[in-house]
Amino acid sequence: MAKHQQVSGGAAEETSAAPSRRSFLGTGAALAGGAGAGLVGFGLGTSRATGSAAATTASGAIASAGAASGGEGAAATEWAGAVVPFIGPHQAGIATPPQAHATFLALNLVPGVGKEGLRRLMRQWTSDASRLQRGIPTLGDPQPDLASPPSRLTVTVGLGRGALAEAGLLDRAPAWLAPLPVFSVDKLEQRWNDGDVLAQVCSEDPIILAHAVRALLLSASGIATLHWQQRGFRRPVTSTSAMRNLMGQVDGTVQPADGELDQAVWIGADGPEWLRGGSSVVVRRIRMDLDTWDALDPQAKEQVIGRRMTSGAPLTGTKETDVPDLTATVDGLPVIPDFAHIRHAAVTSVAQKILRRPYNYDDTPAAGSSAEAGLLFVAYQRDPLAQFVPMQERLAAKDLLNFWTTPIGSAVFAILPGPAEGQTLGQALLG
Amino acid sequence: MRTNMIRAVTASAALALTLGLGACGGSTTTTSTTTPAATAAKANGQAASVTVSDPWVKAVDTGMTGAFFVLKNTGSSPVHLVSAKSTISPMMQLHETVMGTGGTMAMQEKPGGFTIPAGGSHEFKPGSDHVMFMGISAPVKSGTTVTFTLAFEDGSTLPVTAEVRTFTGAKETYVPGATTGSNSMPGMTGSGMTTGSHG
Repeated sequence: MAKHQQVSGGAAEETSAAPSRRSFLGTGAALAGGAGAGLVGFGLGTSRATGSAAATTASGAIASAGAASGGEGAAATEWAGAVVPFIGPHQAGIATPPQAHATFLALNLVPGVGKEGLRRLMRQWTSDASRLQRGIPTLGDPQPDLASPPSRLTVTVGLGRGALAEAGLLDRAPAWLAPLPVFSVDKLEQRWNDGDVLAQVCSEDPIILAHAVRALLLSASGIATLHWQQRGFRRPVTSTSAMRNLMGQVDGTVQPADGELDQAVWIGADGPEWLRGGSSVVVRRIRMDLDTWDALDPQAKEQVIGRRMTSGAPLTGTKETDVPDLTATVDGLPVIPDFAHIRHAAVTSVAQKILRRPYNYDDTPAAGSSAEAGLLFVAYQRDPLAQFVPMQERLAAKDLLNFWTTPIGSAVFAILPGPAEGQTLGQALLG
Repeated sequence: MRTNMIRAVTASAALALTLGLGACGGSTTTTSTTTPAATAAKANGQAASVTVSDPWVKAVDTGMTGAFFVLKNTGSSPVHLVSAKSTISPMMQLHETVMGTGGTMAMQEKPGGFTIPAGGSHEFKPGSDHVMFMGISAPVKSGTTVTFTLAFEDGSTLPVTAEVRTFTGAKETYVPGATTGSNSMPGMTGSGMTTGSHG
């Protein structure tokens, strides 16, 4: 399955000692088999540094030429030459340990471009992504000096329902490829909703990222126009601290394990043929009211989430990775309150799990306000209706966290399978 | 920087210079778009030792456009590129770009084509040497491909399939028949097969 985790591309052929969170876990040896390699880092808080910085780049999702490609100082080149392979059964940027910076682009196809227009866009993006992920400028790149070092750049492409409609292929769309049902907590704004085509672009280097985004938009000119763009950030995978959201919570603790991705994330033989090896993604913009959250005392914050703020440990445990005991009581009262977030986010089967790959956003506030901040909630799963929606329905009904968080944008995309060598993204759908 | 060099050279009237060699020979990265010589129509001639990498053509509705690529001579003898043909254009030329009057870059036909020494490579790129398509009557759309054929002095040919890309540069003025940089006419606009720009 996750055989794409191989070193490729010019600079990356020189592997070096870029530390990966996986190596910190001491599971490097288990990676050599390829399957599942590089799939752990998205555990966000679960894999903090505990050991030496010995690296196992050849077996992970990451290889690094380090200073070889830049020579601009060790700190700047920690990830510099690292290349995430573009070719493989699954697209990069899903099971890839999350990069520190992300930009999500949703484009709408120009009415009338049809299937041929969508095919033209996918051909160009295939060319662009395959080159940029290796640190090679696009063909006709107006800023070729901004393509390298790629710094773990990934481009992940998805199609919204509107793309299939424009292409005359709605009969091929799975039922889940549609706007999510409206939840009671939603205050959605159309400017953050939906979109015909998605590109999730991630890199450790925001300059590399900005260039890649611009390259993709240039290739789209005449075919599709920008509907929304959302930018996010998180700690580097190499950070010794957990991923935290801007409410201070350790975020993204529970994730499918390496061996569970076929059941939870990748679309298999029961899915549409053109999506086998692909997935689905839910992208929701969740605004945080940090002013009222700041006013809450620390103990109350822990009750709301069901975890300790500092350690991320469930209130029934001592460390982040402890499994919450939802049945524990003290003096007849549940230790993890009925209204706690983790109580309602919990799932009981692997097939219900979602792969979360969230990013914080902290945009320019309006004059007179203190913050325009929140979370880009990004979840990959085989079927949003079977996985994300039941979870979100529980959370919408009972999660006290809703008091401080408001979903203001929502979109669902079908994530295309990874391309084989010489193939184009979406080829199984578009020919 | 390159402009200064061009200015200096044009000032000395050495117009037959081959731009791009050395000065611009940067990115010779080979990619999956390399056209192997094995696909050449006559693989036993000069074309047999030539590879083309990263070929692309600027998208255009009608009129003119250019093809850009890196041509590498893997053989032990020089190769001499003399012409190009494509079904999408009734008239193609091998072009160089020179400094025209008033500092505007102007492109003109390169008399005699381009010679690439044994083991050498030559980059055809915007603002420099390129293969010119004229008289295009149907849109050449980004995300499609264009096929053209490079012909060498000995009659051997090499087919090239190029990606069509959106590109907003390469607006050099085209001056048909210009023989020196001082004869070019920047700002001259035109259409069809004779005068115009890439855009």
